Amino acid sequence: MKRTTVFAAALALLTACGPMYENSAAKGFLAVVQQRVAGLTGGGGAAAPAAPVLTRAQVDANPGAFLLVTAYGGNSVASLVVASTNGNRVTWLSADNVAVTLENGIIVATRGFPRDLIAVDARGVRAAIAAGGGNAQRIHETITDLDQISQEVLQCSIALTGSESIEILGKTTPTRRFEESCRGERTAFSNTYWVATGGAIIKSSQAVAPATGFLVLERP
Amino acid sequence: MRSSYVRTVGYAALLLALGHGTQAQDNGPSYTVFGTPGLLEMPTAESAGQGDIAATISYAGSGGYKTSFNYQLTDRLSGAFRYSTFDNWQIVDPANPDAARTKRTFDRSFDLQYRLTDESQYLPAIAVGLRDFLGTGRFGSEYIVGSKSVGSNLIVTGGLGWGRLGSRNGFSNPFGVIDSGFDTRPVYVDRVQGNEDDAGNGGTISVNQFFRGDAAFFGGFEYQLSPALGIKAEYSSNAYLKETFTPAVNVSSPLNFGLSYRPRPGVELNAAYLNGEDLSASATFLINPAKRSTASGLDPAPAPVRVRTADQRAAQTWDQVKQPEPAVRAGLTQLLQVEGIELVGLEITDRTARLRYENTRYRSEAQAMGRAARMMTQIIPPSVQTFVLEPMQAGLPLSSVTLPRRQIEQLENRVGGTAAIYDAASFGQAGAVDGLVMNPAPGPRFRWGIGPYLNLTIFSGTSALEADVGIQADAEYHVSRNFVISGRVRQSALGAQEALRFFDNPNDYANVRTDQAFFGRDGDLNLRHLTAAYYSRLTPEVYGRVTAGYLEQMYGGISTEVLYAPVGSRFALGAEVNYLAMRDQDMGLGFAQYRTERDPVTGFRNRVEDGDYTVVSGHVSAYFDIGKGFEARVDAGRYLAGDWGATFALDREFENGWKIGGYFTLTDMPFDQFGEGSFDKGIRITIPYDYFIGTPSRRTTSTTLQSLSRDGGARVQVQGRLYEAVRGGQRSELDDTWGRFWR
Repeated sequence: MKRTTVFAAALALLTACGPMYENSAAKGFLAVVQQRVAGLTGGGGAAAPAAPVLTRAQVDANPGAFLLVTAYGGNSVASLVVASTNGNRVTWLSADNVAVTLENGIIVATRGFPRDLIAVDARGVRAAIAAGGGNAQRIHETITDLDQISQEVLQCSIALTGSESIEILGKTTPTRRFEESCRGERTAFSNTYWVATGGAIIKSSQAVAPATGFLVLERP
Repeated sequence: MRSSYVRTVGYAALLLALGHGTQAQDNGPSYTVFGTPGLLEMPTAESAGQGDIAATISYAGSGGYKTSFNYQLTDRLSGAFRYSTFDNWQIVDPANPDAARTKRTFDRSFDLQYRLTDESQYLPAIAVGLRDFLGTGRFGSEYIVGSKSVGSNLIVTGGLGWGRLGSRNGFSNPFGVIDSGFDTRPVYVDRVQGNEDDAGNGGTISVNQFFRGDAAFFGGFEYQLSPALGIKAEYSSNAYLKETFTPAVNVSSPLNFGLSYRPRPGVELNAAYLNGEDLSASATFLINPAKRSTASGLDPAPAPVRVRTADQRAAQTWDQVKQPEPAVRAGLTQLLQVEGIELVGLEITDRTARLRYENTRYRSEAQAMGRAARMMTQIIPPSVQTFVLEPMQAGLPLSSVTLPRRQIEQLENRVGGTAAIYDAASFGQAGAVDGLVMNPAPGPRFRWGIGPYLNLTIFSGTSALEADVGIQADAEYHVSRNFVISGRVRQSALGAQEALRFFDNPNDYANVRTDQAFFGRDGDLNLRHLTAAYYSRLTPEVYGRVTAGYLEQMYGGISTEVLYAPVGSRFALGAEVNYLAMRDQDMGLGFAQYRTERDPVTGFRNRVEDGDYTVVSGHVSAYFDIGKGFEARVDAGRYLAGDWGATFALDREFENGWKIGGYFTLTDMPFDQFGEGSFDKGIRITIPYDYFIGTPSRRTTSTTLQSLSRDGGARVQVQGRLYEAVRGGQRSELDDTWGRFWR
């Protein structure tokens, strides 16, 4: 562990300076190595969040203004606020420039993840949830390693799997839980939605793309 | 997730296309000590994954070192470049071969393999290949090979080899039935022994040897014990005969055995016992431009589109009281700065807004354009229905893309929105400066940087690798957007060093490139370059450049260029004329030519100043975007040594910025004057930074692997040539990365 720290320090000493050397390959590689070293030694990075990203008091002061997003299997939690509204699509943005666009609570686009959903058509899924279950088609567009748009059509079945009271930031809400299981040519996944009495999705776990994984969304 | 593994030959691509998460997985072919897909020393009919680049370093007791790069250019065609260090037989007296001595040799070689057929249920995949077909032919052979998978873990291979691969238990050539000319293989005449002028400089294609002389069988198998571990065994048809200039490899058995260990994707470690004599170890590392480790990148989210209300959309005129021009321009300037985009000029009318901007952050101009357009929706007066975006680089307006504002509002985050916004766009030549309200050139106009450098000279003559480390400083002063003064100095940390060990190159021409071995070796401060560069758009479709000063390591002078490049055309035409003087080898401010005098007693090479060397060089260049990711280029003209000729280049260009290509240059410099290699040729690779670092960057790094750097067909290296500066905004380039428009 000491050796890796010394190695990282030595690399840091070699770092270039000056406006022309910002974003240099050396710095990029250094950042990658430092992340790896931090990951190996368990130091630095994402361990144990010291303070919550959002408190109940903040939510009560601005009801409905926040979206909590948990990514990378719980390693990253961010509080997002509304950046813009386009029709019935709302784009939420975090302070470190990660964006999630929702249409009635279902993800229709992400930006700032290693593999983004450029666009999604999931209108059928929302209708199936409103109807208490059923089948629906999804269309996902992602961007490939070669900067091309790749489209995948997925067949999904949505089913009510029970009632559950869930707690978000100390507030408990009764919900109905829906499972959506989807399969396409390349990917297969299951999403979960917790729907409150009025029909709003107040919590969900939704797949984005292979390199990004699932996002857990909560409306405190 | 890997539930099972299946090795098959030739339809890996099909499996991938259909693959689900739990689909059987093909872990691809393993690699030979020659760095090509195959067994140990024998090839198989397997092909690597399309686009795979494999770097292999191998060592064997008497076989020496080999460093190889194998590139799977298409699904079926692959090529390899190899640098080998080994002992050669030197037969002084042909009557008495036992008195042969060995001599260390440094050899370059090229291979090609083409898979003719894919494996089917009963038939093997079949491939034909050439090994070392372009060098001095130390390993020169041709082969036809078939490989068939048996069950899911075994691949059996058998083949027929000619040349070195026909040297064990050879039999008369089956092609002799067609023509008796196939029966005997013409002897390769090495330059040391050749008497004719053009004979034996290597580097020419030895077509008259192909598939001639005796043939022999080879074969073997590879068995996967587990997904990570495989065993290989083969019967080699290379007897490593003791002939003039053949590799001095110890042989006591035709059988080779080895283990192939793949601890994780992209890494292969091999151990082998070769020819009954040698232990061998090799390591292969794979990278594929089409598989980005950072997926599609870690670009921060763009600002979303701001959608106008119905009332706002109904506005017919721009309310200049509410939104005065200077306020809009200042606001947009700030918004674009967030995206690393400089607002150069803005023109607003009631219905149209034209933005000229310079993208300093994104590799893809299409991505920068998408972000600029979204920022425009934030602040451009609501009566404006049409956005015209004019990207600019090096002070040159590149093109003009017209986008309907309503479509930007409606297509954001919509399935099919990327294609639809492309269809809604119209592309043309950038407009005139008239009408644009220009922003003053941004500060800071002076930029600098200090940092370490590591300079690797690979395959330079007689050593595989020469490294220089030290500190370098860059400075850049923008007099205006299209007039830049820039320079770089370096101080080596290694102090004074001996000249690089290039081959001596006695010829009748000036040592316009081979003298590079002596440049900047005195341990003092080196001026790498110091230039003033001026760019101008001469007509809407013609661009011009003048660069003067210390252009590169070896040459100073003035370089002028014009380029005709219509936005929508796949063709571009250019012309460049340079007046150059060779710099002093101390890489200070002086100009001088030196010659080398060898001290007859000590053998030391002394450098003696010998006047000046000046030359007028220049080229007419034609560029053609063939499509499907291929780009061809021809440059014809006068080269540094005063030789006349042409360079032909073909590059595979990936949409994500990788370029892999090859070139060759033929000039009127005779092959025996050029020296070993006969003419200049090489492989070049350009890698975009963002592929590795994930975050957006416009930087790239390029490397050229030349077979031999010589004095024929050499050109001056000028920074910022027009074609590279201009083409990012050309329609074909915008097309390539249009997928990033909404990213």
